[in-house]
Amino acid sequence: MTGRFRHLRTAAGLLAAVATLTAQPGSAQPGRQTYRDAFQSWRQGDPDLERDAATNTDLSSRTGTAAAAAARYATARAASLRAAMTEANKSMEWLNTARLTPEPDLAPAVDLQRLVAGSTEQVTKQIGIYADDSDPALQPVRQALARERSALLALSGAISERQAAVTKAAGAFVAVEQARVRAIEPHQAIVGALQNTASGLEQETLAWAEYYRLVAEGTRGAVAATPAGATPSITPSAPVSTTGTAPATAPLPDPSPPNGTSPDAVTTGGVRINNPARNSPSAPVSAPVSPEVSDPAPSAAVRINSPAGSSTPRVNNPAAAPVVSSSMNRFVGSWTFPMGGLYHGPQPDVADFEVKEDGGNLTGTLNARFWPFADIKAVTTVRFEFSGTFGTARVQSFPLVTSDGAKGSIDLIPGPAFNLLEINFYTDRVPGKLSRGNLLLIRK
Amino acid sequence: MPTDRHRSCGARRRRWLNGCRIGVLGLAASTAMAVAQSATPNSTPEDRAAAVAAARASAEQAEKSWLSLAPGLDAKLAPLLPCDPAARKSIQDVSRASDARNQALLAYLRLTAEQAAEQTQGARRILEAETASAPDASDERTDTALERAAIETQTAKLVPGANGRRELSSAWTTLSQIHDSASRRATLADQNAGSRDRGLAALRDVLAAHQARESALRQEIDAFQAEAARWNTYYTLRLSRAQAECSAIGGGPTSTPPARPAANGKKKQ
Repeated sequence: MTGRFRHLRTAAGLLAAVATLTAQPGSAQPGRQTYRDAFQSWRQGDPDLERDAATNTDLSSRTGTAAAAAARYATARAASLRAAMTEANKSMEWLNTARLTPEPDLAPAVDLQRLVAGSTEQVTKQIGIYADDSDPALQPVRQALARERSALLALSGAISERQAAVTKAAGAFVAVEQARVRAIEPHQAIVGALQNTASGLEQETLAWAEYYRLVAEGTRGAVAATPAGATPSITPSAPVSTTGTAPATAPLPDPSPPNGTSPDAVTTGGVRINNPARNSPSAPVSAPVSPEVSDPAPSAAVRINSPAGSSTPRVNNPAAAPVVSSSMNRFVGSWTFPMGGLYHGPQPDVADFEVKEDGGNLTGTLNARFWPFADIKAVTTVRFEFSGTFGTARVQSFPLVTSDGAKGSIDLIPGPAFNLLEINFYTDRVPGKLSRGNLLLIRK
Repeated sequence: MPTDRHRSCGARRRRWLNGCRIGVLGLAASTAMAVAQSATPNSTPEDRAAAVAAARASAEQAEKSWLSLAPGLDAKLAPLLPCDPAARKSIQDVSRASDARNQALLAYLRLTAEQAAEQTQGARRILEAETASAPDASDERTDTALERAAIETQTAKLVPGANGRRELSSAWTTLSQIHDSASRRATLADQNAGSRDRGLAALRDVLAAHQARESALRQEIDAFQAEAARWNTYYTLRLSRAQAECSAIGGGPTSTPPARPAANGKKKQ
């Protein structure tokens, strides 16, 4: 588990750096060219990194830059995929909702023809009655009967023609439905392939972060003991756990500034970096820390702070010590689930999370959509509101009520970077609805 | 020509009932018109579907009302004298019911055709969007191939280091896993390109089918309008015949109100 957490923090740190970069004004819109540019930038940035790994003693700085470039590419690629998935889902939604309602034949020709035939027979009989009568007074009647009979014959023909048109329209109706059903299968395949591609890309993004970390540590000749399971398993179906709460043996460092002061951001190598490392007097002396936190050596992807006591920005400085409490600002704001983001359990499609301060209380809402999960076979939405008193603990817990009236609770867990927030919620079971979710959000 | 026609209490009862039916018909026709007008061009597909359903209900009602009168018309006229105003009224009642039925059915068919036109537009929009994004599939294949090639280059460059420095073997393993994943994505990109081709072809079929249906519904409307005109002609001629029959026996216009029957019995002609 420790390895998984370290792995998560590594990727999350990258994500935070990338998100900070992409939030700069003038960022390009997500698109194919954007990620192609990012790809070129990554690949042409340091083409000899691997070759130099055989001889150089410390490539930490270069691996950090490469990892950030890889993450930039992944983010842009994910945005492009998200746009493609939106398009594909739109087609699927249309195909599913364009189902035609059967059209009953409201004026069956058989009934009408019977009616017309009866009247025609009657008129014909009348014409026969008057046929041999030479009374001139009956002439208009004979003429009227003849006209009526002609009208009935014409009517019969019109009914037949309409019936032919109705039959043709009914055939067209069946053809539409058959074509619509045939179109669903390839579109389901498109959506499935895009989802699997996104899932694979998500895993690769994490693996790239791990790879550059391993290269950095390998060149130093001292690969940190990687616990079993720490190396990412790149299988599309294996979601990465963000876990509900931080384990007691490895509290997540909170980069929020002590005393609420905001440190100056520094940019180096095109990467916006965080505040200098700091000590927290409130951190228990005996608090166990993760290998990464205790490792003073640079870590390729996560620690992009400045070293303590140094005015020179440097990537991969010693980790900040964990702090126990969090400021309200750490949680307040608008958050979203990034494409290829981290989750555990149901996979989010989209998630918008709003947190507000209200006189010492925190209130918030989640509007999210999740892909089918376990026994829930359809895309489901989750909407809830929460509120409660802001406490001093690092992890804030609040009761929540969903739009369906179900009750539950939510934990707000500060992520490894200031612009990351993990949420973990549980609700009473409602048939057809998700009752839990765990995802890592990024500040909008 | 029969001369023993007479009015009966039963006939008067039927006329009263028919009057009620005509009232229902008028209501159905006006409902159909209101429904047709309520589906404005800015209506949502849901509004349109609701309007079609309401129009269908009105048309069914109007059809039912007309069919409750039309088949019995000849039998109803048979016992009446040629100049009996009830004969003219009976024909006019059925004629009005027929008009109401034609209006309601036409309103329903027009709404259905408008709905079909919207569905054709929807199919066209989806097809255009997918056609525009069709190159994405081949781009995806190209880009994934580039990714794989880049990973293979990285791997080749890392091999000497991994052979010489045991500490780099984990990095090499991770890179291999990334390569495997990129290969799987390449397979997905190939499959996706095939699915997109099939999806586009299927959408073209959907659009063609919608266009054919829209055309068929227009033809159905034309055919129904022609039939409605024939019904109208028929009832007009039926009324002309009744007037001719009345004239043949020297009777006056049948629109003259009948003499009020004696309170205690029937009036002989």
